[in-house]
Amino acid sequence: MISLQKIFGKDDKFFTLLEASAEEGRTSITALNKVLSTPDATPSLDAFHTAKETDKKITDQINEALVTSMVTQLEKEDIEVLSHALYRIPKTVEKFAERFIISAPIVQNVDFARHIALLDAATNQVVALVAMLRTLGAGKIHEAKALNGKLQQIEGDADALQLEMLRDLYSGAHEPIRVIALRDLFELLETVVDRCRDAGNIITHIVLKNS
Amino acid sequence: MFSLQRMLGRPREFFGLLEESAALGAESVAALRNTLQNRTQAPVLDAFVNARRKDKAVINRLEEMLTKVFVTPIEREDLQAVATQLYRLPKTVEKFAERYIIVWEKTKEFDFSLAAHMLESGTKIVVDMVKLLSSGGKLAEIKALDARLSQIESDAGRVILEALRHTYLPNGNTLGKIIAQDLYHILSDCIDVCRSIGRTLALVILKNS
Repeated sequence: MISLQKIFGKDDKFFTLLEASAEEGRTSITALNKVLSTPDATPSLDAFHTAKETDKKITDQINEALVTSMVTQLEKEDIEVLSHALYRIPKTVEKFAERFIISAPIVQNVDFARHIALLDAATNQVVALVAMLRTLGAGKIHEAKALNGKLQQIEGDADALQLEMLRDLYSGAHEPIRVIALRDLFELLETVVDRCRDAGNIITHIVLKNS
Repeated sequence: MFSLQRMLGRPREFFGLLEESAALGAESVAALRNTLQNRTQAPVLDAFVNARRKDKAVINRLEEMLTKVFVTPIEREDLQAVATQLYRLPKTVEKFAERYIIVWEKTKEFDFSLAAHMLESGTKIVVDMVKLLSSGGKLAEIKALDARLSQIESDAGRVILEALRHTYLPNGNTLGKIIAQDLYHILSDCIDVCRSIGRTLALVILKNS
């Protein structure tokens, strides 16, 4: 990496924005945890919408900075792809929240604790991986691969949980309308973990390229 | 495509990995067709998991090479795009198999084998297209294969639509119909993935012809 790039690239700004975007993903999961752990309270979409909108503004700022910056430490395409992947995390969480709110009367008494634990772990890994981007260089790939390995494991666990939930839904023990609503909700939660995995894969690829 | 790039870019290694990946996708689809033809025995997941895991290892090798090798036989973005698309096939087939295994006894009245057979035909075309990419195939050949793939996608779409029509009939077991719809949608995703691979390959070959 030539130092001129570092001088002109204003990399700090990109790293800060990417970290803020990853944090918004985690914020939306915290909001989700609150909603799902208090099933008696009337859920509101505000917290999810705010997290998603804040992330959208961050993504717009990144895109604008990419246009105005001549040189960046990371390749511009990589920054763009990563910022898009990070934005999709709170966006999918908001989608889940919207569906959860409209189907709340049908899906009462469902325990989402295991899903939340996986989502929490996945977003934490994403935040840690994004933080790594500030210190790219030789030897970092092992650290990135270890973090991404954990993320892959979480994604595998989420797939297994999804199958377990579907096995129960398809067992005939539930009303068909409940099956449809819960199937859609479980699929969206699995998609959130997939989005985290996608972000993890992109970051690992960036670290590999720059190691 | 200038020949120096092809000469220096370790074409055999890159294209060999793509061919390996396409073959693993075909292996996974063949296992699916077998499973759906033989519906008297409990299905097993091993063949699907093995094919997908081997494919993942192949794609990882290719991605690592892409970051280390200075010159590639075709643009590295194109190699990456083809590899990513190819991996989606065994992954989506495995998703179908995972779901099917937990509900196969509840869906005996629904036929998935015709769509699976069409998927297999499409996958064979994908394998041929990847070989054409390796050998620097002619434009006419790739266009003909792409047209066949497009026809298969269209026919499979009609087959799945017809199958879905039965699930909307008012009589019968509602849960069974919901499950069958889920499975038909994943099969439809598999066909879409196959079509996307073909489209990506056709564009890449067109660019490099």
